[in-house]
Amino acid sequence: MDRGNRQVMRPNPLMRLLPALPVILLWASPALAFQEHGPPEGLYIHQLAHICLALSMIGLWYGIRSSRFRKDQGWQRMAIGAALLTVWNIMTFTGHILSLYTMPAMRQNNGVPAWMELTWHILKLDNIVCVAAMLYFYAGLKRLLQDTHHAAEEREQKNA
Amino acid sequence: MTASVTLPLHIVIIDLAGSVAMIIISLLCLITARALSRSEPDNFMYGYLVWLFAALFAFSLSRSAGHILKHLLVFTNHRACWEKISPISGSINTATFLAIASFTLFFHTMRRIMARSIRDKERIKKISQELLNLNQNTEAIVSERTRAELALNVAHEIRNPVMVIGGLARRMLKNNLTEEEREQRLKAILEQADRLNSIVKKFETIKGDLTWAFTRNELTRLVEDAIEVMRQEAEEKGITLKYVKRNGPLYVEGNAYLLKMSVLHCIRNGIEASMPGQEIEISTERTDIGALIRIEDHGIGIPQNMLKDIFVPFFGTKGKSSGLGLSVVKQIVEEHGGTIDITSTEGKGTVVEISLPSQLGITKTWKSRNDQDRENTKGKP
Repeated sequence: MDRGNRQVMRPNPLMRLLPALPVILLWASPALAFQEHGPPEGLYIHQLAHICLALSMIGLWYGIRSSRFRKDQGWQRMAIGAALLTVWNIMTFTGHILSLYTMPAMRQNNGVPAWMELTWHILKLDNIVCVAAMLYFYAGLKRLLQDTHHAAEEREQKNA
Repeated sequence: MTASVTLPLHIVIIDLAGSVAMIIISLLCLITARALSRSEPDNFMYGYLVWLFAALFAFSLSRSAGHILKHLLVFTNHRACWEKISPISGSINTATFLAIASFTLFFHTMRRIMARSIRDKERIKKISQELLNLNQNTEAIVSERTRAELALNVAHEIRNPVMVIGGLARRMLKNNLTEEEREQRLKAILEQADRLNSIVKKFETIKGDLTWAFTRNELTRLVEDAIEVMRQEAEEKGITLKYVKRNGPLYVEGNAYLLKMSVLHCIRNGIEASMPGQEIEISTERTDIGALIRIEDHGIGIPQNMLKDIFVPFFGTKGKSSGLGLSVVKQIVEEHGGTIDITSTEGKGTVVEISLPSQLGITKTWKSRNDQDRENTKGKP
């Protein structure tokens, strides 16, 4: 064996701290059994949920558009509903940030610019988009139900 | 923070009207999705829609009711009360968003699995159809070749004796033969007749003995398997296959494959004779000697003049058929010591009854209804 090629194993510096870890953990003060959940966490999780919902609606829209469902008028309307709900998510996500962080800070300092006030007012009309999304969903469902009934009637006529 | 900002009236009106509309429309969506799911309970996508709109309804109720309540409480100067309710409404909204995201992720996975299974199902259906066509073609080719081979063999084997008999007979017609010569020729004719007789016996023994391959089989399972094989073909024609298992389990001695093929052939005949919307009832029951399989269709039936020849080889009621089907079925059933009866009324339907013994040899004294009828009518004009 060529001794010259052998590498000298040096311990990782972090490994040297390993024996001290129990001491650090036990000396931590205040030592609490469970983590506290303060007020901003609620907003963070709500905003994360908005992102999840938006992504899932994009997924639904893409799923419909990229499959055989795209030929059905019912599913086409469902895809529009999903797209509108994504828009609503973006509106509310932005609205929450403006309402809770950006605008209060601006009001305290130099005042809120007119364009931001206008944007905020438009975002406050999110219900229009949300209701439109739900209307498209409803129209899509009605159409799917009609198609199902027609298919059942055709089967019955064929069998008669 | 935002509570201190007074919203313009049009935003308040849109918010309130939108909140009410959201509750109503989401409820309608949930009801429609439920109706859709009930119309096709096996459709997993409709199941997903029920969950999606249930979550959206919960969200609408929590959010919109919250918005309406907020306006009422703030207007009646109960802002503190609203500030206690607000986090609950917001938390429900968050939970519903995450629930919708989870359902949709599940939906995507299921959609991919379903798409793959639909593709596989279609491929299997196509292969099955190709196999069926291949089987029918093979059956037709084998039938035609068997017929030709049989005819050639018969012609080859009987040509010599017949020619010899013919020659001897022609010589005997000449009157210038002595008594001794005549006797010699008659003996030669008898020899050739014996040869012909042995050829006929040889053809009779061509049919082999299959009993060495017989095992004990559960008949109802064989019938169920045969029905499952034929179900797709029946459904495509709009025909329902109904199985009535009157007793069970029923054990018979025989070859499972041949028995299944026999039942399958009878069901296929029933399907070909039936109209869309009709039902074919297949039943099995215990009898004194073993088991009875009954296949009843309500199709076009078989004309009475054809019924007597239904088991004759190469006889067919269908133009393109090889005509081997029912004769082979009869042969298989008889090899199993059983009997097959067919009764049919033109325009009303056909009933096929296959009676099989639980053990071979048990039916030596058993006679089928057709045999009994034949015996009863024997001697009658």
